[in-house]
Amino acid sequence: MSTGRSEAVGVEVAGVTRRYGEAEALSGVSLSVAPGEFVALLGPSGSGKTTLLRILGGLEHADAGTVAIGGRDMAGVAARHRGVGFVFQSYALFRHMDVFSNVAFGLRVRPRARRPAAAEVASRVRALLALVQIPEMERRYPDQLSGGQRQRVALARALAIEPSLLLLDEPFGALDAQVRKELRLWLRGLQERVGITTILVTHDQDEAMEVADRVAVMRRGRIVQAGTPETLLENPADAFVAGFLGEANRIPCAVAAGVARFADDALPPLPVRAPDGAATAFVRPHELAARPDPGGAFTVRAVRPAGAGTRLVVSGAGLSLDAVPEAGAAVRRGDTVSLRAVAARVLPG
Amino acid sequence: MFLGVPLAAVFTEALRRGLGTVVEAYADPDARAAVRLTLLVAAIAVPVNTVGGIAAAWCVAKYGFPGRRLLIALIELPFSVSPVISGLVFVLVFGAQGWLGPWLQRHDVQIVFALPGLVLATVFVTFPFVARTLIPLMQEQGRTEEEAAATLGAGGWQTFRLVTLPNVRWALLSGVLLCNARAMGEFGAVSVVSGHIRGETNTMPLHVEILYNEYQFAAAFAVAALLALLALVTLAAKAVLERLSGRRGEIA
Repeated sequence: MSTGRSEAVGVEVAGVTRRYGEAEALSGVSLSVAPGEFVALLGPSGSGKTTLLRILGGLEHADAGTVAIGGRDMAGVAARHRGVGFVFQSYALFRHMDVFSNVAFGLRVRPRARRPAAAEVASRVRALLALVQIPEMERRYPDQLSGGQRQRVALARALAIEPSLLLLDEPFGALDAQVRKELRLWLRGLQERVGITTILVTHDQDEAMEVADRVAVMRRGRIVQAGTPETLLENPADAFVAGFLGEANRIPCAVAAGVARFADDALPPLPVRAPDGAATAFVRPHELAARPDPGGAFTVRAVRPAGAGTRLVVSGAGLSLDAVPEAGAAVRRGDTVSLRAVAARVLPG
Repeated sequence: MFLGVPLAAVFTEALRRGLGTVVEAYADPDARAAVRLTLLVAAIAVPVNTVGGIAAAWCVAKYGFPGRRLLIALIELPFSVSPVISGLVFVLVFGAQGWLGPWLQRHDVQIVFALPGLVLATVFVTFPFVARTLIPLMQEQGRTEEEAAATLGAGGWQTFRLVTLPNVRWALLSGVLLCNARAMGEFGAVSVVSGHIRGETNTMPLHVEILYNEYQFAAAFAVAALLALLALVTLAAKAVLERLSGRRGEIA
C-alpha cells in the first residue's frame, strides 16, 4: 500500500492469568506469534479468547504473566501507546463522524509534532478506503452503511495508525453467511499483502481454519492446542479439540485392550490406540457408512443430497448421527440400517 | 386541555387590563430585580450542574465501582425529596442557628437569605436533570467507542472531547434546557432560603407569589406570563433538538 509501514513484529505471551473476582478468565496462557503470522484464537464463548485479545490491546490488564510485542514488555504501556490496531466485534465506529473522519481519527489525535498535515491525512485516508474497497463511502455516516461496509471502515481505521500488530475480535460475527465468507477471504488476502502480524478471535472453526496460519484452540481460560489447521484436524490433542473441530460425530465407547466397543454393540468394535477406559470416538460423516440391514440398530431419519453424494441422518441406540450410504447401497428414509466406522479418532473422555 | 387551559389563562389574565399594565409591571424595579436575580441564579446553577451532571453520568454509566448504586440513588435524591425540605436543610446547615451558622457569621459570610443560598438550593434541586438525561444514553452507548479511541492513540481528554461528548450532545442540550427551565421556575427550596427580601432575594416565582398575595393580580399574571414564556421557549427548543437528533439516529 502507499503508506509507510512499520516492520511486522512478533508477540510473546507468557503465563498470562486474569481473574474476575473468583472466576479465572485466563489461567497461565502462553502463546508465541511469529512476525507476519496470522493466528486465530478459537474457542466457545467464555473460553477467555476475547480477554486475551483485550490484554494484548491494553484494554485489560493481566493479573500475572507477561506480554511482549516486538520484543518490548507491554506491562504498564497504555493502549494508546501500544500502536496496536484493534477491530471490535461491534465495529465501534464513531457514530457521529463520517467514514472519512473515522479513518482519519488515529492520525488527527497524534501529538502535533507527529501529526501529518491535512493534505497528507486526506491522501492516506483515501488510500486506505481504496485498500478496503469502499472509496465512494467517505461522506457516509456509520448508520448509513451495511454491516460489511462498517467492517471495512473499522479495518481501515485500525490500519490508519500503521499498527505493527492487528487484533480482530469476532470481526465477522455480525455478518450474514455469504458476506462473511467473502470478507474473510478478502481479509486473508489483505493481510498477506500488508504483511501485518494478525491475531483473530472467533468461535467459528471454519473461519479459523480458513484464514489462519495457525489456530490456538482455547477452553476455560487455557490454550488446549495450538497448531496449523492440518495438525489440529489430524492429531487433535484431546476430545475437546476433536469435538470442536470439524463436524465429527461423537460416539461414546469403552476401550479395553486396544479395542473400542460401543454400547449395545450398535457399531462393530474398532481396533484403536488408546488407554483403557471410557472414551469418545470421533467419526466424520463420510467415514460412517450405512448399509440396509433388517437387523440393524439405526433408522434413517433424513436423506439429502450433499455435493457428490448423499448425506443421511440416522438415529438409534440413543444417538443421532450423520452418515453416508455405503458404496452402491440405496438407502431411503425410514430404512433400518447398520453402521460401520471406516475410520475414527478415539480419545479418552 | 390540562396543559393548554391554565397556560392560556395566564396570558389572558396578564393582558386583561391591556398592555399598559403589563409594561408597568415589568417596569417595576422590584420586578426587574427579580428577573435579574432569576437569570443570575440560573446562569450560575446551570453551568455548575452541566459540568457536575456530565461528570456524574460519566462515572455511573461508563465505570463499575463499589458504591455505584449509592451514587445513582444520590443523583436521584433531589427528585425524591420535597424542595421545601431541601430548602429547610440548607437553612439548618447554613442558617444563623444552623450547624455552620456561627462559623459563617464570624467570617462574615451570608449564605441563607442571600445569593449563595439561592444558588445552592437551585443547584441541589436541579442537579438530576443533566445526569438523568445522560445516564441511559451513555449506558446504551457503552464504552467500546472510547476503547476504540484509546487503541487509536487518543488521550483521555481527546477521547472525551472528540468521542464521548459529541455522542451525547443532543441529550446534553436537552438536559441543560430542562435544568434551566427548572432553575428559573424553582419555588419551594428557593422560597425557604430566600427570605423574600424584595429587590434583593426575590426571584421571579417568589415575586409572582408576593404580587398575588397583595392582590396585584394583573402584575402577578404579567410576571407569570413572562415565566411561562420562558418555559415555552425552552420546550420548543427541546422539541427542535429532539427532531434534529432523531435525524442523526440518537435518542435524546
